[in-house]
Amino acid sequence: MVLLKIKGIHKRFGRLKVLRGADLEIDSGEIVGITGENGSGKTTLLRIVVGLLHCDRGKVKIYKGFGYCPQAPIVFDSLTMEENIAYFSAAYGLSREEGMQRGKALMRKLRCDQHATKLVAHLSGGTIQKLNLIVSLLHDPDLLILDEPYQGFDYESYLSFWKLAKELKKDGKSIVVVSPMIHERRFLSSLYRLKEGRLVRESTK
Amino acid sequence: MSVSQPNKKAHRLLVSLRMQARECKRRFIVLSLVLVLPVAFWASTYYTVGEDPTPIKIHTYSGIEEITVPARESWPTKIGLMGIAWAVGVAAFYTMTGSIHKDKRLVLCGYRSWQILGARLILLMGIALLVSIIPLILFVPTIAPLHPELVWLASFLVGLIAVEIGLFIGTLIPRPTEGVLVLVALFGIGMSLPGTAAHFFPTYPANQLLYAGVFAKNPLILPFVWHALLIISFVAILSIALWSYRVRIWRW
Repeated sequence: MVLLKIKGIHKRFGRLKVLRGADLEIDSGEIVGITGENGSGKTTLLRIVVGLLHCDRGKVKIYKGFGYCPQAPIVFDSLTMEENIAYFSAAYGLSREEGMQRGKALMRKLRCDQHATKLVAHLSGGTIQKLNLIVSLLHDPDLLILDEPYQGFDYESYLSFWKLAKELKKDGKSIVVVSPMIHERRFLSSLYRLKEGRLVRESTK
Repeated sequence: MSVSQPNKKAHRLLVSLRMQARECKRRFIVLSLVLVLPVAFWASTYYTVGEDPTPIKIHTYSGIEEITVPARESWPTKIGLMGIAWAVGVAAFYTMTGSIHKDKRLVLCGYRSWQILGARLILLMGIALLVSIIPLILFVPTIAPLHPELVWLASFLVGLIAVEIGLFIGTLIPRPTEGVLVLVALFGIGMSLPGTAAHFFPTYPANQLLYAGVFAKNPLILPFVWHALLIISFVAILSIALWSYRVRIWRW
């Protein structure tokens, strides 16, 4: 079952043509990696897919609910981790209890539950990144769109991330992971390189 | 269990209000400065300006009256009002510029832009109410206005106008330095200008109400209240429209 279809996305910033007809199709239960050099347009593509950025040409169709984890953490510094979870749970239309229950389970999986009541401003960069990821997972979406989700993670947390990704895949969820370096190719269903504004399929071996 | 559909909108607005209030409470130094600034503005001029006779115009039911009062009785109250406009306006401005990306993420996750802005407006109106009450504790016993309730009304209305202008400039000019300079210029010039040029600035009705409240035996009130409410509503509509555009999500 197709969850995401991207067709002929074009985007330019002034004279710079960043995307020149990027195409992609993702089925349920897939983990798709997108890699490419710095400035190749990976983040631009994801921002267009989720609707944060306007594209010049092309079509994006998302067939089910999605979660988006931006590259730079976008959470509330003056609130605690729990309060951030409660705030975003309300955004997803979840009750506080349901949101907190799910948030706590995710905090445990990503090994940051001991910081639940701390202000985000007092947390390390890696823990803030974990919260950034948790926020995108709170509503149990069918499609996860993650822009460098493990940036700043320690090795144990990095492994926890991939463990979580495998569990989600097993439940039929799909994940798009964007990163300039994807070492865990064995977990991917497919890998694409963003080259000259287009997505080119690469081997996952 | 998810929140039921009819309650979802109100629930989101209340959660946003609670979270924004918590953020505000944790930035208590900024909040204290906002509360203290108008008093500091007023006190610093009250104790330095002297007793020189100053001609001022006040609006009464019988028309415009020109009276001469000591500078100490007129200028500091106006400066205090300017302090309210600056403090509340800058606070409102930063609530917008500092949160655009977070608000956009909330909208992406399901919030409506009006729910976030509505909660912000309620919070800022509460702050404007506090800022309009605190200086009165000093103003009223010291300057003994003829109508203290009008001095409060002028202070509250200027606070509300500043909230709206701050939100609007914060939406229009997201760069902090440029935005704050525009606010300083708008309130500074608007509240110091004499004569008809002052009519074109949004703080004009509050200024007139202030002088009428301090000096007029038979003050003209309603036209200035309507004028202020018109400005507040107009700028609020502009802000909501512009804000909704800024945090919109593109769907293909």
